[in-house]
Amino acid sequence: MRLTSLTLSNFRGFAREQTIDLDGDVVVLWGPNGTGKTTVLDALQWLIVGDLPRLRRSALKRDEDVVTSRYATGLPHVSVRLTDHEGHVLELSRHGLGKTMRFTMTMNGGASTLVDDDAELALGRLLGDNTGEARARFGRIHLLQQDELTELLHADTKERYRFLANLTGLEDLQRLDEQLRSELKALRSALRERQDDTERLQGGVAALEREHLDSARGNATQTQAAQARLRAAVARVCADLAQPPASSPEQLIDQAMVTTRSIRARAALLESLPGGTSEQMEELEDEVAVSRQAIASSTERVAVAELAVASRANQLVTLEREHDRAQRLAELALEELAADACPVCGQTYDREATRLRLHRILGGDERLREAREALDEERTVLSLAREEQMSAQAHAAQLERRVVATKQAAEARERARAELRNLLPGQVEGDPARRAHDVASSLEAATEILRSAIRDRDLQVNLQDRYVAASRDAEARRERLDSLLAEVAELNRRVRSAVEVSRWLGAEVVDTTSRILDASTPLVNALYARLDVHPTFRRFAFRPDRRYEAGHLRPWVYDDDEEADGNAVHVLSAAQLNALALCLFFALNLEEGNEFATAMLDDPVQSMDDVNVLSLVDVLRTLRSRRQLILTTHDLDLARLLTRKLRPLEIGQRTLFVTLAGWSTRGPRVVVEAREPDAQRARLELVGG
Amino acid sequence: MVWAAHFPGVLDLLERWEDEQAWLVGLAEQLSVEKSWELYLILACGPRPDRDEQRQLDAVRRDTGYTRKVIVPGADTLLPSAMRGYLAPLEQLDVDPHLPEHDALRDVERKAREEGRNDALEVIAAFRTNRPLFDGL
Repeated sequence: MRLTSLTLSNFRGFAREQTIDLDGDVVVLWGPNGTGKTTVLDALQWLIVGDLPRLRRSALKRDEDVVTSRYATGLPHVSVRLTDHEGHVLELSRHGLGKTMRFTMTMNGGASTLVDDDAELALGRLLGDNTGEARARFGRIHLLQQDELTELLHADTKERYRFLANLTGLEDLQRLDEQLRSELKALRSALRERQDDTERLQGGVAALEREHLDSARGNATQTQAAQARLRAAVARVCADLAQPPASSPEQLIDQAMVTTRSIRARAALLESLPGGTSEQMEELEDEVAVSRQAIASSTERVAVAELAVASRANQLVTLEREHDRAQRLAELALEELAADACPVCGQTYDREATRLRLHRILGGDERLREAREALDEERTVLSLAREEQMSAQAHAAQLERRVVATKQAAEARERARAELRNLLPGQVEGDPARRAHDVASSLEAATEILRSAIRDRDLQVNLQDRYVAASRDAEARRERLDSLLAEVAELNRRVRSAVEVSRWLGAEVVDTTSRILDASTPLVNALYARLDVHPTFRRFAFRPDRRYEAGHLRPWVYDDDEEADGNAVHVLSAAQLNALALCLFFALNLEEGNEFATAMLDDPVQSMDDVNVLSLVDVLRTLRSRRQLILTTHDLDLARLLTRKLRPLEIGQRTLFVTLAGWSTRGPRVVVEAREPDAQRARLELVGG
Repeated sequence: MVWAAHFPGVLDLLERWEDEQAWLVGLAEQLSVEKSWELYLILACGPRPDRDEQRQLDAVRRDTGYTRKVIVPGADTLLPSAMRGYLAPLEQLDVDPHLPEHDALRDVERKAREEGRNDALEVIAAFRTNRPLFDGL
């Protein structure tokens, strides 16, 4: 089945719709750089694969549009017509991008049409299988892009192995090999992880066990000491309390604290009581007696003063009466003083002098004044006496209160003493408060010691608990360690088995790969000999091997005459490597069993010298009966050489010279020149010389 | 058109190959008015060349004027297979378009069965059913 025409529009450099006649067994596409030669091959790849991997690799985004013409007026479109040797026509068409992309397959002029998934499935069957691998392979087996295989020859041996294994239908083997490597790596990693866990746990368990032993040893001694300290502290507190041991040390502490507080309270009471002793009472009673005497004395003085005051008051009354009478007389006299003689005796007198004397009488009497002053003095004395009496009474009342308080204090003290006696039998002689304080202090100290002993005991109990918990933890860790050790042993066994089986399978993969590649090697060598790549290294073979659990593939060339050999990458020049890459491409292409009998080469000669180019022409001439050949070049001389050397010689052969030139934003100008064989030309026989 | 010439020595070849080419070109011109033939000149010499001679022979090989030259050094001692290698450009390409289908994984499986490698069979079975490969080991 070969391509007969290609129609494309809005596709990369082809904005307007163009149909290119490809109905030839040899198609030479010529044009200056940038006129769309590679785009024609890209269009064919996009049609089949649905993408352009060579551009996708350089796209920034996964869904970046690398297809649509920058001068497009619509969506990209590519369609081809293909015919097989019986004349059946197949049309494939791809239109649009992403989710709007449509793929159509039409057979025999519309007799049957498949769309999208059905069409893709049918295309997959045409390509050999329904997997994406076949599509990916299509781009490499039917289309040789510039430098692709040469780059492969320079690539990492492992990468080359993977690439060629995929191209030669060894995908399963390749996947198995990679999965073996990957899972073995994961298994080893799991083993290392478990081993690390085990080592860490082993260290932890050992440390824990050492600590455990030390703790056990220390704990026993410390626990005994703590118990002894506790017993001694309990005994001391009990002695201080003069009681038998309580039900627990904590209760004993409570009891001691209550007792201590009680003792301290009573001691404080004793200390705070105001007197109350017999000496104080006697002194107080003496003071009371003195006070009573003072009251009696002051009372007596008050009485005397009252008498004196009364006497003075009487005198004053008398004097005042006399004074009143004299005054009335004087007033009368004054009233009568108008006459110059006494009305009584008729004696004349000095009126003025008399008036003065009378006024003197009216104005006051010296005795009255003195009597009043004396009365005032007596009253002052009385007042003082009364104050003295009141003061004595107040003092006496105070003394009475003190007596009462002292008596109450004496009673309280007696009660406190009685209580202390109860609390501290036989220990309250002498100064009871001081003694009580001493006892309380002692009890407090004993209580503190007991508290400390309890803390020690609790600490030991806590340590004991921790020790028990640590023992359990150590036991659990030991069990986990045993489990991990068993797991590590099992993983070790599995890793050994996996390594062993991986080695065997890896060797078999390499052997099988070698065998299958060897089947292709004669064809590669036949092409290699035809291309006359190297004057002495005239045989080629792949050398598969397995290193570091990965398959590697090295291209090797041999000089059988001199028994020399070497890595093609090191021995061959760049142009020779390019020629070798062409051999590989043709071999893979020729061995591909799908329906597409096309080989497309994008600028295949690159830096080849003339002799290699002529060799390539020889090879192409040999291949044209098996493959439709589509070649691009920018070299006009080469294009003409190819057209001339690959001119049609037999009926049915057709050579097309397609010129792409005059590119504008709408696309290039396409001119197709077809050459048909000369049917009339005689076939000549070889004539010997 | 193919013309083969054998020379007793390398120097003979280097001195006389152009005569042979001229003869072949003349013959081609007699047979056709237009240059429509590919001309191949097989130049064989008996002994193996030394390095200097090899360089000179390679220069002849690279001369693309008039004919394509195929140099066969040491022809007297070449094995037939080696000789065919030199003459390969003249042979039809032997391409079998229907290479036998191979199932590489089945090949490996068969080999494992033959060798009683149950572990490998288990791994392949796991691979086929998309299970972890080493779980069954």
